[in-house]
Amino acid sequence: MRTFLALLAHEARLLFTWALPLATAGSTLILILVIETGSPEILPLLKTDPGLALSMADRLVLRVVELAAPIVGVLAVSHATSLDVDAGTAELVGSMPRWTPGVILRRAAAGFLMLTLSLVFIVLAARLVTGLEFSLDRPFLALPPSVFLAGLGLVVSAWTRSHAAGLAAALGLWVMDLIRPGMCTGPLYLFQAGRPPCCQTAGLDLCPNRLLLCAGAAFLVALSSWLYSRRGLSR
Amino acid sequence: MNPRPEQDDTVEVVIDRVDKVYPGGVTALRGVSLRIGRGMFGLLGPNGAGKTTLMRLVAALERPTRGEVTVNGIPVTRRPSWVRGLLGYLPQDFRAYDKLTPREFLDYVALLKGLDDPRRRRREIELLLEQVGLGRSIRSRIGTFSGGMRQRLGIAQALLGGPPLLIVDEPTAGLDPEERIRFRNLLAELGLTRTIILSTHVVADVEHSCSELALLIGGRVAFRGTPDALISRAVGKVWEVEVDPGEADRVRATHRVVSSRAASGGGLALRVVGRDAPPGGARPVRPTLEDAYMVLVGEAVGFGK
Ligand SMILES: Nc1ncnc2c1ncn2[C@@H]1O[C@H](COP(=O)(O)OP(=O)(O)OP(=O)(O)O)[C@@H](O)[C@H]1O
Ligand SMILES: [Mg+2]
Repeated sequence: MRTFLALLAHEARLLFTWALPLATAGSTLILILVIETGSPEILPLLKTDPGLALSMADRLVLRVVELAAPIVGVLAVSHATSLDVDAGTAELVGSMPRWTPGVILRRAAAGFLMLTLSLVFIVLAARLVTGLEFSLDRPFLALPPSVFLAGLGLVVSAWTRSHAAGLAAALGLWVMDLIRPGMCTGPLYLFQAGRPPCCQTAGLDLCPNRLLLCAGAAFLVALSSWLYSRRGLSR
Repeated sequence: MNPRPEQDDTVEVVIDRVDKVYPGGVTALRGVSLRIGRGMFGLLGPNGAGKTTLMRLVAALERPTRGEVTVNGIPVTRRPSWVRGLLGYLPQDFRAYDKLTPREFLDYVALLKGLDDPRRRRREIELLLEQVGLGRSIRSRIGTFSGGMRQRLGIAQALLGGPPLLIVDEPTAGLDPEERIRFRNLLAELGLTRTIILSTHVVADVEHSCSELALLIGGRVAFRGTPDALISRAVGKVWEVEVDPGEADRVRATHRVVSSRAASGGGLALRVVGRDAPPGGARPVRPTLEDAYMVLVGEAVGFGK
């Protein structure tokens, strides 16, 4: 356990970039500004699934957090597989006796931990600063899609050995789903606001959708760790 | 976590009729057979001869296309992580994470090597940093290191955990002469109880520290034996001859020039290797290991240019 924690700390250190706290601070600031200046006119823009019985405040926070969390998540994790390619250490890590896919599994864990902490910070800071009463747990439903997108970034960058490609894939899907909810993602739709009609008629609710996203993320992380360890063998 | 033999447990590496063809179609090794036991084993050979490929096969980073590599009788491809548990490996193109300090980096590597006891880890890291002369740079980030400092860090990470099998690919590249000699001596000392495979282009390193060596040329083993045996292969094939500067090219057409310097009479004093004496009053000289290397390369690919 101690060894695992020591390794986790090292992986977090390797993954950490200043983009992460910057994105977190920026998101917090935007959320606070939106709440403080939010006039009744912009509230209809914050469309959410009408099936969800949410207060205006919840809708507003949800909307901002759903936009912020995937960016933070992708920034936190998606370079886990390309890190060693960029640093030139893939060969060294591959020559170590510890199970090579474990490197990516630990990095994903460390990255998701950082994402969760960022989200806690955003939500708590917004609540403390604005004093607005909103649900504290609902925003965390933005975690599964963020983790899923980060996992997609991991797989693509493990496959192409390029961080940029991973970022492009993850953020590309995110933008697609923002514009046309559910078009590419179907039952794996990312936004709570955007439950696509097909899922509504199929009765696919938010809860199974979030569970599916978590399972998908687990699969993507596992796939990327396998790709990473395979690619390590052939320089 | 991994079976780790006592320090004096000898590791024997057997490479048995190994071919390696890369996916692109390049044949890097052809029918290589070697038996490598305790002590320091030198790998010499021109660029592209297959030295790194051979080392990566032993480190289970690559699979042979044909043949088999075994460590203590166990095929490397069957139990790669067991082999890696015995292994300290310095890649030819060693790099580390720039944002870490050397201590953090070595701690990470130690954890990946399965050194789970934090106190032992710390002790060993302090010792190694001193041993490779990085004791005073432990607070700097690796990104600020000079090339030689990085290489020393690479050496330190390979030695971490006292592995009974060390594979070091051009470890002294980029080191200053003093540090190179210091490291060479350190390796020779470690070689008393371990199996060390060293590849290098510095023939003097092999001459001074390896009891055995193999010369790879074009993916084949052109020679395997002691440095003295290699030298004796070159007896009668090394000459010194003085020529006019204009004639030097004629000698180069049939011989390999090991060195040339200005002679007192205004001509060029050449040290050459070849099958027969070059014309013009050449006198045979006693070969060095470097001469012998040139003779074998010349025999394999031709002496003339
Ligand atoms: N990953 C690879 N894919 C394809 N070909 C490769 C690969 N690695 C090496 N080769 C080829 O295999 C041959 C042997 O390369 P290798 O790196 O083993 O030589 P070397 O003896 O270590 O050379 P050097 O002294 O320059 O380090 C070369 O022709 C090289 O181009
Ligand atoms: Mg090489």
